[in-house]
Amino acid sequence: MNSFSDLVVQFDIDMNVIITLLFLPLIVTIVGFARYVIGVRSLGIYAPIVLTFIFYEFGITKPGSIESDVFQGLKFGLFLTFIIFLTTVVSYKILKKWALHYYSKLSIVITSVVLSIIGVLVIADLTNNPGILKISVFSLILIASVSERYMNLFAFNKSTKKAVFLSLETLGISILCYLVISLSSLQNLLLDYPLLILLNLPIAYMIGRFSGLRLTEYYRFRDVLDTEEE
Amino acid sequence: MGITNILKNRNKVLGLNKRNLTYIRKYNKDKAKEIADNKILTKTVLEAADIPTPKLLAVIDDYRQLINFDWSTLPKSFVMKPVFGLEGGGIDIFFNRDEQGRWIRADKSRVSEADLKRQCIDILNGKYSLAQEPDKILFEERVQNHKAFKYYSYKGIPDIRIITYNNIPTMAMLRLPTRESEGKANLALGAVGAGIDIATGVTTSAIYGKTGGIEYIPGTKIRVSGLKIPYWESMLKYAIQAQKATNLNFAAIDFLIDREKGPMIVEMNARPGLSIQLANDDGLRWRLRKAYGLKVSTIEKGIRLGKDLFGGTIEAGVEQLTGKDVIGIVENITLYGKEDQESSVKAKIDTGADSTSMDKALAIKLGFDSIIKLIDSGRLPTGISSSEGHALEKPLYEELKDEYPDLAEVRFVQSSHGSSMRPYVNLSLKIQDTKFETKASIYDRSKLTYPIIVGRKSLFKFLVDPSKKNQIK
Repeated sequence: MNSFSDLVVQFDIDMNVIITLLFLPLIVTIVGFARYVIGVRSLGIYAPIVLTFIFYEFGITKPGSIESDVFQGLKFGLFLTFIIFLTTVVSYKILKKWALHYYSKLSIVITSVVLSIIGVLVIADLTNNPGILKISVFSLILIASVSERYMNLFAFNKSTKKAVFLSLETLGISILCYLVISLSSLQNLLLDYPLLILLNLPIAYMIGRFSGLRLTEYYRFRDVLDTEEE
Repeated sequence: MGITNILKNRNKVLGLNKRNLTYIRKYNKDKAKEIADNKILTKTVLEAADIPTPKLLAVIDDYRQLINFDWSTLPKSFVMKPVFGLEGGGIDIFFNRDEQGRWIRADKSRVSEADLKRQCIDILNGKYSLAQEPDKILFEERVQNHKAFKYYSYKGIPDIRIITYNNIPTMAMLRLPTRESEGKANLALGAVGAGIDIATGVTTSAIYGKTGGIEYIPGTKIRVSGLKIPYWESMLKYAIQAQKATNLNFAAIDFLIDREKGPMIVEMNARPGLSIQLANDDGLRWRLRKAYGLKVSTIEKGIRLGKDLFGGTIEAGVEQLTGKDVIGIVENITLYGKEDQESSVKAKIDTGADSTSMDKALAIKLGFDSIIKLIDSGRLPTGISSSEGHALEKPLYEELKDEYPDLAEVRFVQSSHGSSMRPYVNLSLKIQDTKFETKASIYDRSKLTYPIIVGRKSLFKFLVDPSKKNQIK
């Protein structure tokens, strides 16, 4: 039988599409691990997946190849995430004072996010900084829609501090996921033995049944835990 | 202390995972959750079971009803709540109405009918409900603060939460509104949470927002511990009755106490928060394990079990509880020194203090001069951080024990007097007719009323009844 990677070559599928597909379940598992075992929350499942693949796309050095530059991925990815986050929060905070319906507010916020992305692209072009221009149109749409998650967070959270903290936790998880999926040894392993993704099933089951204290809870309840038996 | 304790105790504390997987999923059926999540349904079920709850004044189901709502039907003072609200979000309390027809809040801010309608639209839109689903609005009578809490709560009314499991009250907490929480009894906003001893209804330890353990209500000299909750017995009874009526087998039941009408259930929660463990300085999981599977045939038995299993000193089991002496807050006790020299003093029984501590002068009387010398030598550092302090306990003791044979232990203590390393000695003492050994720290109490306070670690053989204090001259 042909190996899976031969098949991919034979049908001329972009290797990165395959990587993305194979790693998708793993990312979801990592997000679950972060929440139930470590105790780090994320903004749903959608935001970390999108952010992870944005980092991944920026890290690709040659189109069609799976070689990636982690530093470059993080540099551009974090920069763009930051711009989107900032635009969302600032425009939302301004809009908040007006009594508008939620989706209308969102529409204005997304408009300003898209404008700022265009601004970034124009500046990158003018300053001869092509790295950030490589990103695909589809990813741009995805990244703009992440701002909906951010806005939702600020709209339904009373404390700005909490919202910022949750965004940072999401970013942290996404960076962790990115570092895992850009390991070339892991990529090659999965390309050679794609059925390995079935391992996600028992792992997800184990995490799903985990009923111990989360790591962050050891900290939260440290005073209760650290008592002498009488 | 440290890692070994934490690992040993990890099965005593209830975490989110265990709560969700076992206690909510398994023991709270969907139908019971539906009752708890819907405040109108909760009221209906409780009223049918003759359990007191604030009187329902009006309900607004949708926009059409909001437009047609006749505001003049409401009294001057009322509470407005989202029917599916979470964690107290969206609740507004009005005390009076001014000449222009505006309602007045506790903080003196005024709200016109148009403002109120806007708030109502937010609620109907689901701003405070789970997953932002469309909501309804309920108006109920305002509960008036009981005088027992007058000096304890800032502006708002404190609430009392009892967690019941398997028809047994397992843990309880008093939440006191503070200046920081703007009169709301919400820990996340900075309210004080005080643990309640199930057996006596008296507050024990307390936490304040995220700052951790406290002894006094912030900005006051009022001790949080030692407050006797009025109507405690009937609240335990209502809690179990409410659990039976709603079939919610793992429930947090929230009470308010009205000045005239007494305790009323304002809310039932199918997903109890975990901070109650911090307020009680004890884990909930071991208590739930103990309550599991017990046959509770009557309400009285449920109360009895709760008191016996979880009341009194934290670790006390049923066996220890029987035959305990009941003592007051001030007791005449006898101390026995190194050479058995006796000394009778008036002592403060302080369930809010962790351990026993005595004054320097008293320590000299009992023959512990060497420890006084140790204190005066300046070899015990003060004003250090808690992590430094805890790390120092063992090495410091090892270093000093040969030179000072009376020294039993060195412990880091943080109190309202500042943080310091305190020396401990072994001490025999007699309260009423029970003589026992305990560890006591020594420090300067000359400016305080009592030369000795007896703390929790020395009180395992006793039950403390605060109302008993007047019997002692």
